[in-house]
Amino acid sequence: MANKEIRLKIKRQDNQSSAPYWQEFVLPYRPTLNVISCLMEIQRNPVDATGKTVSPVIWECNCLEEVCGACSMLINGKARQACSALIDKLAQPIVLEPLSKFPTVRDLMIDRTVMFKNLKKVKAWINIDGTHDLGPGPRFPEKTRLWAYELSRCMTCGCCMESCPQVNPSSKFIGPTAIAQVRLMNALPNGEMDAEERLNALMQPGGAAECGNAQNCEKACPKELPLLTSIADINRQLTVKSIFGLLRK
Amino acid sequence: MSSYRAFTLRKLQSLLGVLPLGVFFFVHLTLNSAAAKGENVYNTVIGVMRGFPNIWVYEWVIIFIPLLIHGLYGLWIWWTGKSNVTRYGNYRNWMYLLQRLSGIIAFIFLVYHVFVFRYGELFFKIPELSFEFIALQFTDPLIFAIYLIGLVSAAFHFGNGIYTFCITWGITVGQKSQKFVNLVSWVICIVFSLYGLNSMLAFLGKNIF
Repeated sequence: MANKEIRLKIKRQDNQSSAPYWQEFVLPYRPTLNVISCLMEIQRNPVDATGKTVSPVIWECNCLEEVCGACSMLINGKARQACSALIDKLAQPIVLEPLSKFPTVRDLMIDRTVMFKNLKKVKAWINIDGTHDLGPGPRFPEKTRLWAYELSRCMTCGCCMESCPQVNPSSKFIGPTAIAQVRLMNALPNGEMDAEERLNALMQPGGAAECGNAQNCEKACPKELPLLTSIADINRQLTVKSIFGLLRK
Repeated sequence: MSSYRAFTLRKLQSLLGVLPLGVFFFVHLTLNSAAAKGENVYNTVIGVMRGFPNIWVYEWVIIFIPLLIHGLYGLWIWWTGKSNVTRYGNYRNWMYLLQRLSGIIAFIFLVYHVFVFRYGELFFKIPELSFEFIALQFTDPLIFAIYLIGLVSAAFHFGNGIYTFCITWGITVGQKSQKFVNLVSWVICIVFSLYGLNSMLAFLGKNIF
């Protein structure tokens, strides 16, 4: 694609409560750019397509190699990381919007606190530290490790939340991320001890039962986590817990 | 505060769709198929069904109450979801939308269907249900079309509902088993639609099998 220029259409918002508006930018073409390098170029020279100097576009980024999830945004309508979105592979004008399922802080910067709150709700960690040496943990079957490792690659980027029709202002749905992390923690031999508590958290309003099986999450996940199987597996754990738990009373 | 109400309702909603509603749907279609044997057989079959003592208890416990819970809570589920097929046009995302649409269509249709065919005599002074009355109704292409849409919506909703039921209850966990049930769900949708359509045509004397 021998474009002489790169056209970007960016949805901007000055602060959390102000109304969003659109601005267009035209940059000289260079090969092998990504969305981040274009945003950096705009930051260096914040002039829009009409030649007017505007405030630089705000965005977040960190690792620049698709492992931190900080630069997630809507690029041509799809949630993905700006760092791995190569200009040469995108249709122009490239439309950039902040993720719509999270509060916008400013421009393309969003507040994903809710995802960390959700991970806390389901206790997505392992209690290992005591005041004394607990010794090495139990050994881990290789067969489980194969899929557990995939789940451990989650970077809480928010793409699954963005693509999920069940995540929206009128629902409390916790989203695929937290559900998948419960599956991971419950599968680890030293995380298993708190499995009950995590499942309990997923039985609360907004829990795993509110998945609508639209199955966008797995397709949207940049780290290719087995989210569908994870949700179904958690559903199985919840079925067993709820029915057999009731019968044990 | 922990509350299992939402969890329990969701699971119940999913279960009721299959048991008893889905099973009753099949029984209903089976009873309808008597129409293919002619007017006398059909009238005898519905006469027998209606002649059971306290049949209304069965109707309310097995059909109407589960249907109301499934339908009304289903409307709430539809209300709290926000379809995004324009952005994410995946096959399953379309099925998510169609499941909700078919559910709403089937629910409205069933309210109409029950009022006319079950309680018609009681509320609207419609003649007692018989082969002759249904045949007369179906000669109106509009009513026939309404029934066909209602039937196909219900068949689709039940077929796809089995797919989602199997995931919701953790029966199909892996991708292979989910794909297999997806196939089963389409077979159910098509077979139920054709089975019902054949009975509908039977009232007009045009049934195929």
